[in-house]
Amino acid sequence: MADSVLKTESVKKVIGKRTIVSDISLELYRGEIFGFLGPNGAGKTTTIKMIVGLSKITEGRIYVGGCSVREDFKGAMKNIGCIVENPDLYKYMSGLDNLRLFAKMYPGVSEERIREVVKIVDLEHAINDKVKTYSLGMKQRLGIAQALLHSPKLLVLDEPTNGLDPAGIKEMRELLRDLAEKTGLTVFVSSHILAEMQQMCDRVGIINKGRLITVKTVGELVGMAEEKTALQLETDDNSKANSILREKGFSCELLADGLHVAAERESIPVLVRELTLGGVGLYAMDRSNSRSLEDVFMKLTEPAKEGK
Amino acid sequence: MKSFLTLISIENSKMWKRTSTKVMFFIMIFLVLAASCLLRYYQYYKNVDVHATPSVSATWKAEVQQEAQGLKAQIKQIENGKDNESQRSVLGSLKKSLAEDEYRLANNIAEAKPNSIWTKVSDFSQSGSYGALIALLLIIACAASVAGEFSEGTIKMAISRPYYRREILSAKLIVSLLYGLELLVTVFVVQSAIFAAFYGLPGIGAKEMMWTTGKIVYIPAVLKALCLYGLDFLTVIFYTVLAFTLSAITRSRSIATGFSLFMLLLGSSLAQMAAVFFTWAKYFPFTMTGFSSVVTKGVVLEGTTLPMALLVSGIYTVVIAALGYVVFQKRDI
Repeated sequence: MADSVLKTESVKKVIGKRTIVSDISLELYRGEIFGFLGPNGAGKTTTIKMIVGLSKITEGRIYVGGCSVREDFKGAMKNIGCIVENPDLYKYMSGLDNLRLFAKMYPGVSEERIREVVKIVDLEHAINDKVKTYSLGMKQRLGIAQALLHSPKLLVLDEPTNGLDPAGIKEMRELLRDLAEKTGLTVFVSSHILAEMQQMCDRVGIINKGRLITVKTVGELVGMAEEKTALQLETDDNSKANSILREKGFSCELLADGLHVAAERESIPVLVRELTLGGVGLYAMDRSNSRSLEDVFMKLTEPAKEGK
Repeated sequence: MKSFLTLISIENSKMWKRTSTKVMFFIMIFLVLAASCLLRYYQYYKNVDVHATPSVSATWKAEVQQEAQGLKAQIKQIENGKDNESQRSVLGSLKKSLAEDEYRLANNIAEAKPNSIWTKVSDFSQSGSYGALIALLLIIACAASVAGEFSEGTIKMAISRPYYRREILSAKLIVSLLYGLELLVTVFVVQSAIFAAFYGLPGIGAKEMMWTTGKIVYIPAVLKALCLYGLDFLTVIFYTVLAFTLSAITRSRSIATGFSLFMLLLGSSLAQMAAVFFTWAKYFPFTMTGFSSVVTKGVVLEGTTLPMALLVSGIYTVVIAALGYVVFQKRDI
């Protein structure tokens, strides 16, 4: 497909006797932000290293912008900008010198473009200082700057929000969304933090124990979470409310902070009616969504433990 | 090709931006100047007349003839002796002296060494082991360039680019060797300049004998100086490639630097000691790397010549380099 920016076909990585990842098949399209989600040790960094040429692909193929990483390495790498693990840059040089060095590696990156990229990542005030004086957030931003210099089609980021403060995370999220929308940049970002993925990404691929469990849009994932909602009720008689709802077939749990009820969206009006009919006064009803999304994630990544 | 030249320019900028590169460069210049000044001060202190032309005795021919006879006898005695391995290591030096004496007699050359500024430069550079010093600095620079990028983590930034790994590695090696060439040229120029300041420019066009382990050649002293510096550069290349490969394989600056340094300083003598007792040991990698000392002092290992030393070391250099490339290209980073 013309718009396919990254395609992996049954990619497998074996080191010695251990299979680190197997059967990873993905396809990313122009202008989308794709989240690669999984617990620590799932194989995210290993997969990313194979995409950008740092690790050898044991089996399978990877295509970037139509070029095979194995057969047309130079063609593939021209289209990629990446940060793998930490953004390690030359500490003894200034940020600007670092960028100039990387700019030389690609034809047609002018001094103007370097300035432009510095502006995009908001490092104008510190760009002439030596990188060893930079904070982690500044290094991350310089890392993104060097990745964007040659206007690649694909940006590959390995846990880019590690060590960033909430403001930094928000800035990066907005920057990436902006670039994806305005320039059609495709972003492949890995993380183990659900909340961030939910806010930043269009689609999410979940990986665990080296296998790709599922690929869904964020909407679909949230939808799965909302199937069963966890409600937290505060009433004037929680134990009475508990017995009423249990009788009606709701799954309830009486805890110190209130009555926890698992209910589908459609049955919530029924729940409220039953409580009122039973003479129970309702003070507050809270929905905890983020806990549900975590449940979805946990559920999706659990079965793999039993070995597939 | 243009992109490869770009890579070289990039690696060169990286190298010169490191403080250690600049510091080592100035240390080398400082050492040359300091050592030369010390020599001059010593001569001043001992009231040596440095501008006097050394006199040649009227009976030099007879003296040289006598010396030659003595050397021939010694050589014959040692060659015919049995179980005298340690004595045999002197043979190379004796043969050189004999060849020099015979050449002088045959060509009527009165002075053993000309009073030339170039001779002073070569002799001082050789006794000061400038070659070894430069090899030392280059080992450090090369390890920093290759292994250093692994420990700093910046190797990821270098590899995930539209270049083959072998291109990146070659650029690093070439830039290190270029640094070595820059050091050598600078040292030669500085040494010549300061000696010219102290001693004037005696015997600029003078000729000097040079032993090539087979025969004597009579060449302009400046050419001999350049040859010796050139041979030193070849030695430097050998140890730089060693550091290069060790860096690529171990990714550790300390191991690469330490081991290469050890081999530079002791490897030669250790290997030569072994070779004195086991003749086949002369084909080990480190036994014949001191090319310039073979010219100035004669061979240590019986049966070796300068061309042989160059060939064997050359083959080892290529093999060691190839090993470095293969490991670097195969491994995951």
